[in-house]
This record gives sequence, structure tokens and C-alpha cells, in this order.
Amino acid sequence: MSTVDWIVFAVYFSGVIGFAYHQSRKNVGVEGFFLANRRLGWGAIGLSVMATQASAITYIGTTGQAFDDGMEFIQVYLAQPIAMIILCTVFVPFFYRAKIFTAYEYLERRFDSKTRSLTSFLFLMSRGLAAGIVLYAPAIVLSVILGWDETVTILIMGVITVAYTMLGGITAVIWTDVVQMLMMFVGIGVALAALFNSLPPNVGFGDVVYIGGIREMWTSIDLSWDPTNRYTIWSGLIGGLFLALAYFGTDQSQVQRYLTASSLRQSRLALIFNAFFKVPMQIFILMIGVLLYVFYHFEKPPLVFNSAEVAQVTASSRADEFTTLEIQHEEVHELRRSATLKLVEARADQVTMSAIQPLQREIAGYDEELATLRAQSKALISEIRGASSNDVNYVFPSYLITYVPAGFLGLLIAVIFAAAMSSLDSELTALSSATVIDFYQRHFKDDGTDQHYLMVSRIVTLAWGGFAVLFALYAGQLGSLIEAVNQVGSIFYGSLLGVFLLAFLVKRSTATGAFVGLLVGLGSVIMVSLFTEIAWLWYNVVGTVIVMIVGIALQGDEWQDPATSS
Amino acid sequence: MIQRTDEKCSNEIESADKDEDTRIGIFPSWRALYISVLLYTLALIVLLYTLTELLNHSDI
Repeated sequence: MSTVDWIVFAVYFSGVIGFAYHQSRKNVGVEGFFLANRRLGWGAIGLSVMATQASAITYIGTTGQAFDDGMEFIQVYLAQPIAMIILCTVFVPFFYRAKIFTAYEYLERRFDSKTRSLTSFLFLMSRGLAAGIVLYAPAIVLSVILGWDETVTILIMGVITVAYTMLGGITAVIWTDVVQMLMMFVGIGVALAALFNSLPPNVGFGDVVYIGGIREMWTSIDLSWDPTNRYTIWSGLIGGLFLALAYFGTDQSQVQRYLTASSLRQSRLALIFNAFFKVPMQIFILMIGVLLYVFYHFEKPPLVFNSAEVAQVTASSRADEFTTLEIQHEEVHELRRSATLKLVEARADQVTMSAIQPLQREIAGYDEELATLRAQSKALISEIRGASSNDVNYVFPSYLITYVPAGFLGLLIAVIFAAAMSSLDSELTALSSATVIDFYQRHFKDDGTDQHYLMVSRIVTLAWGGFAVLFALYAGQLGSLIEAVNQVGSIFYGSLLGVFLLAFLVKRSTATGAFVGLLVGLGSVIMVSLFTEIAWLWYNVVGTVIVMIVGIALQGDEWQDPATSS
Repeated sequence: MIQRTDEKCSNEIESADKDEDTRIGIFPSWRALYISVLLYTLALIVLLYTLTELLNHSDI
């Protein structure tokens, strides 16, 4: 990075820290630390909800995914607006009525202590590990791209985030999320503009759209019913709906956000804000990936973007195989480049479709060849590493470092850091609140002063931050285990949602039904994930339905109103 | 003990039902806003499907 980039980078970080410190002075007591004294407006909460969901891997991984497979990933998000309506009408009023600090606290009011403790424990386990990955995944990418030691990258993000979260609590977290989310919006716009600017001067918007369409990169809706197909409109609308309900309705890192609102109305508006803006934002992020795909028709793309993986394969006994693939890749790219330039000229000359079609078929053939070569190289790397290649995460950062001009590069790298930090800070406050409220206060010390709990909350935040940093520092040694850790959340989510839906919707559901249902649901999802090929989005549906069935089967005669129970 | 703003929340819940029929910006009620979100989602799906059909041309 150049001096200008470093200045942009430094200004951004000092601004975030100063802003967080300023906001942190408004905190009073534990309710201030965890819920900002329930006084925030919908705009800040809405942006914080969005920033929490958009991690660095969402930002760089999604663009890489679109580079390989086009826009199809957008289907995962299409049910989110519908989920927001259900959250506004069902979940949020219940949480408000129960006057809670954590989502799981509600389950004790409605069911019993063990259901609360188990759900909170599952959250701590999945989110605790996820906090480490939120830090590790972008750190490793940035280290490879920037040439920094990954320890430095992890420590920069980890220490700054832990510091402002520990001092400022949720107020600092939400307001820094606002800044970071606005940075991400700017970053998306700058990235799109930089990509258009990087194209040859004679290539217009229409050409970009046309070239992307040759390999069906604009496919956003897939109507097929195949349950093993990862992304279809059905898995998106049904599985995605359950996933969004589970994430926004039962995950403390999101529930805590809308509990900070000054009124029920503000909470609902924050979620409705996400209903309107999340999908368009994701469309623009995916478009960056498709634009990268088009851009690399004119510039030579690396066969593999992750230089660390390339170094690993070239140092192995199978280096010759990789070199052969690279030579073939370069030859085919040159042929595709030449054909694409002819296509652009033909379109500019407005020649007939019959003249364009042969060029298009030629390009389509090269596209397939290049995709096959890339798949072969990834398979080769996977065999050598003993873990799957994560090259998709390197496509966008590799472009940034190679082609983006000074100043803008610093900004866009800062955006990636911002995306990671805005997710990590939310997870730290959520982990801390669940630990202190659901375990420390509930099971160990229920007669402490407000100041005592505030002090414990800060210590617990520091402890979880330390755990995340340590996990990130040693995650590289976990090998393929890191992928399993990454999938833990998708195993738990559906069953957790089932318990909450039982609580809200089945009036006669009992504590026993909820607890047994949760265990059976978890077991069922684990079996489905181990022994079937069903795509992961459906796990949430399976978990929820199983818990509901068991809960309804074991329902009792009376309903206790959670708002009036002690 | 942790100090909670219970009273404020109680008042909030009491006013929640009244809030259902109040105006939200350009929307006359929450119901109208929710219907708008549903229509918006449907419009997004239709738009994306149309773009999928119009912009892809691998079968030429």
C-alpha cells in the first residue's frame, strides 16, 4: 500500500476509536452497557443490524462466489423481507412484553431454567467459535494479499474491537457499526466505479451485461426443485425464511440490537429498514463479482488467486501438474480475450446477430474451459492441502491490490476491516450479555450491585475477545476442522427457532416439550447433515419442524403468559 | 440488582396496540407497511426473474 493508502487507513481507524470513545461516555449501568438504556432510534439500529450480518467474508467471499457462479446466491436473501414482517408482528412484541436482556431469558419466563440455559449455552458455543472465525477468515486473506504477518492483521482488528466494545458497550458498538456500514456502502460504490473504470475504453455497460450473459452469470432465480441444489428460489424462500427467522429472532447478536430501541415502533422500523435495503445491497455486492468476471476477460486472471495456496502447490511433488494447468489457462485466456474484443467491436459496429453468434459460442466454449481448469486446480490444491480450497475469498482482494489506485485501495481495505470488526463487536456484546445475564447472574450471583455486574460484563467482554483472538491466531492449525466449526451455527439455528416458535405460537406447549423437542431437533439435523445430501439451507426447516412436532405432541393443558410470570 | 427500565417497557407495551393504527411516514398503518414489504419482495423476485430471462443468452 502507498503512503496515501496508509493515511486513509489511519484516519479511518482513529476516527472509529475516537467516535466509540465519545459514545461510550453515555453508558450508565448494565442496562446502558448491554441495551444502551433502551433509547436508540431505528436508523442507527437498522444500520447496526445490517453491519452485524455483513461480515468481511460476506463482503469478499460473496464477490468471489459471484465471480465463479454468478448472481444465484441472491436467492438466499429473498425471504428476508418476509422474515422481517414475521419478526415485527410475532417476535419483537413478545420480547418487549417480557422486558428481557437476552432472547434466552424469555424462554425461562415461558418454559423453565434448563431450556433457557441450554439455548443460551448453544448460542455461546456457536457464536464463541464464530467470533474467532469472523476474525480469522478475513485476517488470513488480508495477510496473504497485503503480505503482512497474519498475527498483525488479527491483532489490529481484535485489539481495537475488543477495546471499544469493552469500554463503550452496545452504544459504542452500534454507533461504530453505523460508521462502518456507511463505509461499506461507499466501498461498494467505489468498487463498482473502479471496476468500470478498469475496463478497456471501448467496453460499455451494454457489453458488460452481454458478456456476463454468455455464461448465465445473471441467473438470479432458479426455479428447479432439486433439494441437493444449494441455491434455488425454493431453498431461498423456504430455507432462507427459516434461516432469517432463526438468525434475527433467536440469535442474541441480533435480538440485542433491537432491544436497544427507544420504543417498539423504533425496533420494528429498524427491521423494516433491513427488509427494504438488505437485498439491494447484496445485489450490488454480487454485481461486483460478476463485473470482476467480465473484467478478467480483458486482463489475465491468475489461475488461483490465493498466492499462499499457489506457493504450497508449487512446493509440492505435484508442481508440474499445476504448471501445466497454468500454461493451458494462459493460452485459453488469450483466445477468449481476443474473441471478446472482436465481439465488442462487432456489437459497436451493429453487425447482425448471425455474425455475433459464432463469437459468442466461441467465448462460451473458452469460458467453460477456463472454469474447468480452475476447478481442476482447486481440486489439486484440496488434495495437497487435505482441506478444500477457499480461493473465492481471494478474488476481490487480489483485484484490489493489483488494479485499484492509491487512496481508494486504503479505503477499500479499511472497508474489509470494518466489515469484520462490525460483526465481531456485535458478537462480543452478545456473548458477554448471555454469559453475564443467563449464567453469572442467574446461577452464581443474583444479589450483586449494578456496578458489580457492569465490571463483570467488561471482564467477560475482554475474556470473549481474548478467546476470539487466540482462536483466530491458532485457527490455521485446525486444518479442515475449521470448516466443521464454521458449520456449527447451521446445525443449531433451526432447532432454536423451533423452541421460540413453540413459545410464541403454541399456547399449551410445555417446558418438557420444548426441552425434549430441542434435543430431538438437534439430533435430527445432525443426522440429516451427516447422512444426506440435502443442501444446508434446508437444515433450518428440518430442525424447526421437528421441534414443533415434538413440542406439540408433548403439550399440556394450561398456558402461562410470559409477560405476567415471574 | 441490575436496574431495568421496567416501567418504561410497560408503558411501551400498553401503547403497542394503539401503535398498530398510527401513521408510519407515508404508510397509513403497520398493516399497509407490511403489505408494501410483501409487494416489494414480490416485485424484486419478478424483476430478478425477468433479468435472468432477458440478460442470459447462452442458448443462442
